[in-house]
Amino acid sequence: MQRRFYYTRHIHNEYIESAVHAVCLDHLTFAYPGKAPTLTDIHFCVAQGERVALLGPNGAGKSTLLKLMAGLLKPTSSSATQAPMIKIFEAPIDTCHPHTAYLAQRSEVDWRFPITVRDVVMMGRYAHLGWFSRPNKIDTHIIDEVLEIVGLTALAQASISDLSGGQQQRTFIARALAQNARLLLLDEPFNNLDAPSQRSIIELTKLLQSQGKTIIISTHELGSVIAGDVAETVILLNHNIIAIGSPAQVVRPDVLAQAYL
Amino acid sequence: MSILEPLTLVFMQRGLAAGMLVAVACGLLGCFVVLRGMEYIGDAIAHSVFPGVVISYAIGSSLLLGGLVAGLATALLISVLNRGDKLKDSTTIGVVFTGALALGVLLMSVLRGSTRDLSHFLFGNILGVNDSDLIFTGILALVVFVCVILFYKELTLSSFDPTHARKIGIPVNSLRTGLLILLTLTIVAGAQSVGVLLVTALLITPAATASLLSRRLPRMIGIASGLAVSSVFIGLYASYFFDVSSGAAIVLVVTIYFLIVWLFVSKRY
Repeated sequence: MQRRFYYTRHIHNEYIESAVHAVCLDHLTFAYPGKAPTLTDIHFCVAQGERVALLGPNGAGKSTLLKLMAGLLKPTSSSATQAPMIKIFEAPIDTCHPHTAYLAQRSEVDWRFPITVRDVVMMGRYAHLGWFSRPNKIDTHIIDEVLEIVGLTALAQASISDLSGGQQQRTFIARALAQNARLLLLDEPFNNLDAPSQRSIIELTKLLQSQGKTIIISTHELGSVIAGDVAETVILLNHNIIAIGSPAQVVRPDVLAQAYL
Repeated sequence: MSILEPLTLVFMQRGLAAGMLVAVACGLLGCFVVLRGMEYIGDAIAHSVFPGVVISYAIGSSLLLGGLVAGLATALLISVLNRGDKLKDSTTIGVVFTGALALGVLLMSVLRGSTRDLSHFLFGNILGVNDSDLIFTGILALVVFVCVILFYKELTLSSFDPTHARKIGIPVNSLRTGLLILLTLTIVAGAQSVGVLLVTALLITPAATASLLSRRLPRMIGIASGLAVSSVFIGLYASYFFDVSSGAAIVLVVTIYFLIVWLFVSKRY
């Protein structure tokens, strides 16, 4: 067996599969340096296998919350409690967790980068390759499989610059699958997508949910939550949590007014 | 005059060998520099190599070594000043490289009268390459080549998507510092052949040309290195037969490549 130099402490799948919650936030507070708090007293848990929508107006702190859950930002600590404010798979959060995937907004990606769909998806495997090792047959097989799942097999050798918005989104979901991530954090995946593309992303997340993945999607578009079945749990956010519940409970004029007005 | 005549001359052989080694390194690294938008920092390092050269000239040590120390110090200083995200990259770079350039000019005015060799360093003196310079350049090029191959995977990922790279535990900041060090090595080696003022062109222009021609990174790197190597060859030949500055001739060849490719590509769309 080949010895590998992983980038980070490697966590075994069995341990993660047995966790009840994918994410637990304990009275989380966050402020960017020198600014008023972006998030205050955020308190909720997401069970494994749940699909959650983070709904809120622009600037409500949705992206910040996703980045905190991804470990890309550190919560602003309060001296009162020593307990970790974020737990991922019931363990205190690490910056690098090989089993969570954060999908940045499409506007944050350089789409002119000279790279193919297949190469991008292969980057998901890097988490399990570590330094100095190259993808082997198993990795190649995994890539074939996930490309099939997201329906990009025919476009595997295409440049990412040639993709439509929906295809770009699916490429990054495929990368998260290749990474074997069990928690997918999708930042505004529906931005600038037409209705059929939104539909196909929603169907894809449903499929992933049936395979035990936990999915958290941020969106500011009420339409996609109202019309579709983006998630069975909706968290309405505007710096703090306004409401948590099923779409029927949260997506109501009187509740939404508290966040959007 | 025979077309093969330059190849029989020892100083031309050395110049060609040194220039081609530098060109390969420039083609390799230039692609990452262009893709990461680090062109400005490359230019900054090139300029900050200057005071190091002046100091080593004054104390009589190797110009390449002095340039290397100054360039590395600048690269590290920029990466330290950028920690904490208080300032934009381009701001700290602007501050550091103008300061370094001023320091070089100041030191040069102290050493007035003995600046002839320094102009070689500013504008290149590829035909003045001696054996120890050639060995030094060869080692630098080899280090760059080996590092890019060993860390190709991580360099590509952290250039394309630093967030994902951080997420899976790749030390993005250390990689960036490492890339800056390689960049400095290449710039110092390139300063000998085309000079510190023109070396940025050898780094950026072939990579920019290649990015117009290919949408696969490995191919882009191959094209960039090929263009850089051939421009050293053509530029050096031109400077031999027409008796013009070799550094300028090399840079003009890459610039012409770029313009031709740009015209060709923009006609297609």
